[in-house]
Amino acid sequence: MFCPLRKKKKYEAVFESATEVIQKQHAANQVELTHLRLVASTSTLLLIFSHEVKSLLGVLEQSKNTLKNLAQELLPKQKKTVDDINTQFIDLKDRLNELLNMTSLVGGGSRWAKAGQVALLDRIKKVEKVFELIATKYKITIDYSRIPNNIAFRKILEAEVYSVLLNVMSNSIKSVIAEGGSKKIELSAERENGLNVLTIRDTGIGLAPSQYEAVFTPFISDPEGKLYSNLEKRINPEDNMIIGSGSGLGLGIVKEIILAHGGSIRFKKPSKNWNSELEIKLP
Amino acid sequence: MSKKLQFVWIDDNPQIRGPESINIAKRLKADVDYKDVKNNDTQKCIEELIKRSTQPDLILIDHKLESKLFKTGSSVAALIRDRWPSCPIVCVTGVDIDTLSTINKSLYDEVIPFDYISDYDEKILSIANGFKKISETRYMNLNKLFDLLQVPESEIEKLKLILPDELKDDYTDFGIVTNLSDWVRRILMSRPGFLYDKLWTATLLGIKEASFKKVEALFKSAKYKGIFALDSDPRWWKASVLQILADNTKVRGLSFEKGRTLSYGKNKITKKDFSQSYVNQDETPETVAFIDDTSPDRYPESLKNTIPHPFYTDLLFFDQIRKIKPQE
Repeated sequence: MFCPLRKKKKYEAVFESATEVIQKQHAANQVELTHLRLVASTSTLLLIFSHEVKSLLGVLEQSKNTLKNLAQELLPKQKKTVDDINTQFIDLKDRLNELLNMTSLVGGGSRWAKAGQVALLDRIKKVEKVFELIATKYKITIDYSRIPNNIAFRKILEAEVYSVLLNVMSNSIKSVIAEGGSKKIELSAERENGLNVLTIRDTGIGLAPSQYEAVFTPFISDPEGKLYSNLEKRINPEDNMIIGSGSGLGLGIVKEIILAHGGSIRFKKPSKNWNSELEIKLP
Repeated sequence: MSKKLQFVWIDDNPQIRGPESINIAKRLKADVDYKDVKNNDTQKCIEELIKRSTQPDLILIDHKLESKLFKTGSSVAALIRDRWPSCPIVCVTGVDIDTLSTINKSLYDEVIPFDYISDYDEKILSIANGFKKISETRYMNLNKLFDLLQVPESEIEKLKLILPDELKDDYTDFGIVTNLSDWVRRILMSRPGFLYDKLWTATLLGIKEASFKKVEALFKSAKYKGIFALDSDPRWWKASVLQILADNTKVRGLSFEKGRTLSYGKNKITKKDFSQSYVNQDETPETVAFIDDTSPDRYPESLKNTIPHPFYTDLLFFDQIRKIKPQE
């Protein structure tokens, strides 16, 4: 039997429920938007930061040269001490410069804004240097001996290659620290059907097959919730800044870059003795 | 006793670069007149500089200037160039050199990073001395130009063919010094062909770059000693290297086969000194190739593992610049 009041109440309930869903979604969107704004602003912050740090390179150069002049007026033993300090200055300056070059590339600096052939092995070596301190501290072995010298991506920005490598290697580093044990990461590459196939294996905490796709979804950095809880137990608090809690965007960005170049990325069942295996295919 | 070189340094960072001007003066044994354009009137500084009766031997200048009239060193450089066309102007900058526009770069004779200025001491001196030698050459002509470059007899005809017109026809032009410096440093010394750097020379001889020191003394007379030569980054005349190689070896064959039989005193080239291909270490490299389009890293490589580098055009009598061929 037709009952307008009943229908009205039903519509009201649907309306209320839909409104609640929309409000919740809106609130979630607002949170994501705020997060995205913060992430986007880090690029600018990174450039400001690197500009400030770069000015220190000049100070180090001038101080080093002044010390060198001073050393010439000292006795041999004193001169050696000052020369040793100078050697440390030079090492520090070179290291800072390497990190700044990387920051400028990844942070959107105008260097090398031209796509071209980019050799893989050389870039892996540079990214390894970025993680050198943390890898040494946590006794992580990074093996890339199975990367041939002539594997190169055909037409890509150097910055995009660094972005992919920095993200996937930092994920593996976090994962092996969280797992403990032997802490091994292996990168290998080969050419297959006209594509470069880069494989990253690690002895980290691994990933359940059901989560192979989920990890590429923005804001899902730790789908099983065990990475960061394990990491917290094993990492020194002062290294939190380096490794971070993850924006949840890294692998999503990596996937975007790879898809834009006609490639693919996927987690696959790990080979024997490994806990995780990521495969990247790129022209 | 020779007179000290007179340098002028125009900059707006007296806290850091002021003391460095004292350091560089000591290192290069030169007089460096530091012009602080941060606390002083830039225009007045430039006017005073231009009114000087004698031309400085070299001007160092910052690129970004905090000044009302002159925002960049390149605009000051244009003014100075008008007054002293044969004075080298070297930009010393803290900004990323790759971000400078081609026009800005072209107004300087060299751009060097302040953060590594002491690595460029020899280069700064060679520029000052090179410009001085060219300027002091009276009634310049082709023969005098080849004297400045100390060109081997066998290379003169080939060089005559490829010299830019402005360097072989009209020596009255005010820009001759800058043009000559530009061509010598950016073409003759930078592109392998007439002159080879250590990696190219070692590869020509079929040996590793690090092993070249074993026999380097044999090639002393082939070393480039003309204007702008650098001990820290030497060059050798390829033709003279090949001649010395022929004179010092009895084997027949290609240059790498002869080079691998060389010895000098107790130093003998052995198998472990042989150069190796970067891609496939069993192969003999015949050329030097960049690893890709963006990296400055180069390695010896066999021709078949390389392809022409897209960013370099071919030049007559110069070697082709190549890069590693990516795996198919």
